[in-house]
Amino acid sequence: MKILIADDDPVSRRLLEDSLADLDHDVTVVCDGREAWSHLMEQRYDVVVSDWMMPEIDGVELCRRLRARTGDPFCYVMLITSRDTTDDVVEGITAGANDFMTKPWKREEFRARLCAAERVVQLERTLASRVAELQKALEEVATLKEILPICMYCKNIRDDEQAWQKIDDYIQKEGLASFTHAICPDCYEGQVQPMLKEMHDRNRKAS
Amino acid sequence: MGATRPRGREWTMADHDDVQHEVLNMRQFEDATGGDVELMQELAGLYLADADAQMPGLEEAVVQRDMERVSRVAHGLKGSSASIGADRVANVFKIIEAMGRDGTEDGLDDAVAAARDAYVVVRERLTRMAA
Repeated sequence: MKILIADDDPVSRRLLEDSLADLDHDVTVVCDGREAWSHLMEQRYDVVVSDWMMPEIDGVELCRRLRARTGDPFCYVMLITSRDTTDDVVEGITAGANDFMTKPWKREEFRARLCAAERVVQLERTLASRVAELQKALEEVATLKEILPICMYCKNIRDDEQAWQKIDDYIQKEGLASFTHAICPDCYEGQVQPMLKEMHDRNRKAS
Repeated sequence: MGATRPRGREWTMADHDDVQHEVLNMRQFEDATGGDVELMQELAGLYLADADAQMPGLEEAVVQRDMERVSRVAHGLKGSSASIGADRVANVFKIIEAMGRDGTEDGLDDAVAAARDAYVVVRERLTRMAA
């Protein structure tokens, strides 16, 4: 997973970083909320582990900003803080945090919570992929709805009310296009020329 | 447990003496570091450098009665102290943070003096560890 750690406390930052050292994650560590936000604007992270109390942009504000961005891929947010009242937990979760860990924390607890985060990230990825598949299927259904029945011989079209219409009438009525009539070379040779020749012959006989 | 600030009266050193927390809770320190001695030494050095830099700021904020800053600096020191198991000083910082947040000036000087004393003790322990 791509993980962003944001903490202004050097001790906590080093502990978090070391806790992930032997796991197969791509970890970026930053010192405050502003730096974290600038990273989040530039690239996608699967998990953000953030301290709550940081200068300028705190962890809760970081959460709110992340959740306010619509259309982004899912990002799991874990807030770490020594604030531990029920009100604090409620505020953090309401701001959009997925998990809340209080200081002092234990390495094994953090790693276990990260495993839970990985499961959620995986589920969200699967869900996003299924939604994309469903979207594609819906587009295909819409395309199928646009297939028109056409007579194999006269090329008339059957509309939604089961009435047969000339193709040019149908297209014009549906507002798909307007026509100006002309004669193509094949029809001129196959239809018009024989007709003109017949008229010419008839006139010559009559005279 | 003497972990909470008594309400309705000033902070006294007796309250500090009541604090039952360990100077250095090695179990917490080991839980946080996975028992990695080198990491513990590195963190001891990091903590001391940070706390040494923060303590004058806390004392200055107390003198100026800048309660928002008192609360903010004490909060940071509380977190880093707790992370390495410096429970006693972390607990005093927690009380100072609450006093700063509540705007309680009574007993603040004594509480900071208690924090200074507790920090001297943990500083000595950690300096030996980091060496």
